[in-house]
Amino acid sequence: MASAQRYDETLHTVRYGLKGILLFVLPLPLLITVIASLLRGRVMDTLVTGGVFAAYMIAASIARQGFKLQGEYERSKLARAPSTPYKTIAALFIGGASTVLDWWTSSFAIGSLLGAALVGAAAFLGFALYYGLDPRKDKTGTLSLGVSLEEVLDALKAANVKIDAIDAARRNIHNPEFNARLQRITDKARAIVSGIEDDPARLDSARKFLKVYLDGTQRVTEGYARTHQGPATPAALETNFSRVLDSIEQTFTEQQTKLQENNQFDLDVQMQVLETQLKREGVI
Amino acid sequence: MAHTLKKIVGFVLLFVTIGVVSLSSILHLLPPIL
Repeated sequence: MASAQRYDETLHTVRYGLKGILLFVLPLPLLITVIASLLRGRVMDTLVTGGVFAAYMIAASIARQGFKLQGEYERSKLARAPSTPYKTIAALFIGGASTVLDWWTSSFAIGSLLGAALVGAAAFLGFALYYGLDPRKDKTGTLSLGVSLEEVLDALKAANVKIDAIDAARRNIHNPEFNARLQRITDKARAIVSGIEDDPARLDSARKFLKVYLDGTQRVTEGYARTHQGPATPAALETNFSRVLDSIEQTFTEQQTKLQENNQFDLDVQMQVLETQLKREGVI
Repeated sequence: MAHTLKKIVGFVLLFVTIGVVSLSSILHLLPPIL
């Protein structure tokens, strides 16, 4: 039996939190030089070493932005390569700062410029080998003709926004039964979205699902959550909501099963049934 | 194996360039202090 592990956000945050810390720690001795130059009243030395120290810190911050983007890129099955090459910019900053610092230790002697440039190049290379540079290729997965990556990413982003909104509304619903059912619904929705990531060709047939189903579920859940915060929830509303949840959950399950078993995404018949019901309940 | 080696070389280069050059910058100020 496959044991799928739930994504642990805390674990990821901790791992990301430590990545790149070396870039903040290694230049710390330079801070002593900056302070010593300042205390000795050496304006030029203070400006140079302070500037280099600032450049190292800026580079470390830029690099961390790059690590974050790369993490997101690696977690997604479909993704655009980061548009800004943060890691490369950070590596260039570090290379430049190391060149200037090394040249400064040689009192800016022209004969030492080449050596300093080599130190800078070595720093750039060190960064590239240890952290790697930015991903440059879009992850297109098994993208088929007729569906553009942009289209798939937009649709998946919109779907994830809706699923997150349903989750947010769910947290305001204190009825344990409804809460558990909504949790199952959003889990299934995420599985369906993940299925589209695996095979973007399914997007065409799933488009209506992503739009009507998730829209309907979001509206009915948010509406119920708003009413639920009042002093008392009318019994009729509870019944209606329960009935709508039944239909949504059942249809989501059927579609998820179809996706797994037949590799198909034929939603039309189920869609019409649910659409009619959502209209009857006044949700859409 | 190649990945580990790449990481080690990368770490050593970063350590030597940023770390050692930063440390030696203190020494650059030392003679006038002493």
